Amino acid sequence: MPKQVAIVAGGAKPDSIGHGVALRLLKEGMQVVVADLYEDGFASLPECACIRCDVVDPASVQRMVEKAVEKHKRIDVLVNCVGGSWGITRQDLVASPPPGFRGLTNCSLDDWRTIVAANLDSVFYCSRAAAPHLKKQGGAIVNVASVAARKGIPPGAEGSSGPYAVAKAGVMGLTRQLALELGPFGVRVNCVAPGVIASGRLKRVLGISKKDHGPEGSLKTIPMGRVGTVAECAALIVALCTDDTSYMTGVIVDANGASYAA
Amino acid sequence: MPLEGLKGRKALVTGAASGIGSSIVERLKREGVDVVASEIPSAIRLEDLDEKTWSAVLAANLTTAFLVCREFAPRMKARGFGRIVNFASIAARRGSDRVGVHYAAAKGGIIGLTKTLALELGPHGITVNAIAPGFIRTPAHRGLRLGQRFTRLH
Repeated sequence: MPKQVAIVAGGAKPDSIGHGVALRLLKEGMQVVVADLYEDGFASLPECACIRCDVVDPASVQRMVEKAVEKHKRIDVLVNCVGGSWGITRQDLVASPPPGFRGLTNCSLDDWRTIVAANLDSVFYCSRAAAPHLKKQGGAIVNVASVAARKGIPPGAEGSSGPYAVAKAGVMGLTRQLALELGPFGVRVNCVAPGVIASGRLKRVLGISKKDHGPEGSLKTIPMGRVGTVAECAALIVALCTDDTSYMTGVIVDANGASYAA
Repeated sequence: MPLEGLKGRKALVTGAASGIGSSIVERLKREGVDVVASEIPSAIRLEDLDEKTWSAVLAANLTTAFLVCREFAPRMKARGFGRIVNFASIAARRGSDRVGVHYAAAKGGIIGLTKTLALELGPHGITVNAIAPGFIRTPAHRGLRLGQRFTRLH
């Protein structure tokens, strides 16, 4: 049987959830394509085919999917990992988080458009471009949302934003809708909603704020008493890509140390 | 690929005489887990709903989970590790005309129990989750007269 082929959108930054997913998919024996703007990270994934792609640009996404199919002849899995409130555009890829909290009532219109585009539009573009290929033999899409979509983000949480919580809730709705549309073709669509994860992004937030809260709220409110790891999060995402979860679709799985039991 | 971190763990599976429970035991054994299977006789029948039936269904589906969790939580706490997986049902998530309110209510109770226990036991390194299966091909479903619809779903 030919090796399965997975695309990970947003996985080039070391210590990111997408990076962990790419490595874990390799471990499962899949061929992995990583689509990202952050070319400096490509060297950290020598076993993946890294393609420069701006996921908020539909034409760029289309070219990326075509390149992936040209190289590997098929697509079985798509994982949409692009996201965040900052570090998401060409201009500020490795920037530090802007100070303060950008809520719905005090963010700029540019903030709103940029954050919603990166977190929600990207999932739509990537899923739509990959769908015709996934439908050929069946497969799986996994979207990464956030506990922020479940409970909102308390104003004051450094490094996060109101539009982020809204966009991630959109990802959950997109997941359910796409599961209905692609179910008849044997394509499963699920979503993981992580709580606070010790990614590179969280470390940068904690590095500047010196406070006890991450983007998704105070660490003290996590019943398990710790943040999650990238490896834990990646393991769950990859489980949703494999046949171990072959009867699960349209589901949102929370991984948040019981900080919000949805 | 084998699941990580399961080897050498001990698992208790209740209701493992047939259906999903017995499949769980088989899979856990393959993962190298030492399984202690305790069998609860399945005496649940879907009949016209009198109080006795209601109580019996709640006892079998909800009270058992409470009792088993209460029994084993202290040992899990002592070791700082535990994984509890309860079984709910699609009937609790969105209702069903196939199973009756007693079953749906009991499984709804499982969801509340699961969430609350997750909060209570989380600080001790114990995760508590519930699976809500849809219609799964098991001997217990023969009585539900799913017939053609069941076949069509597959």
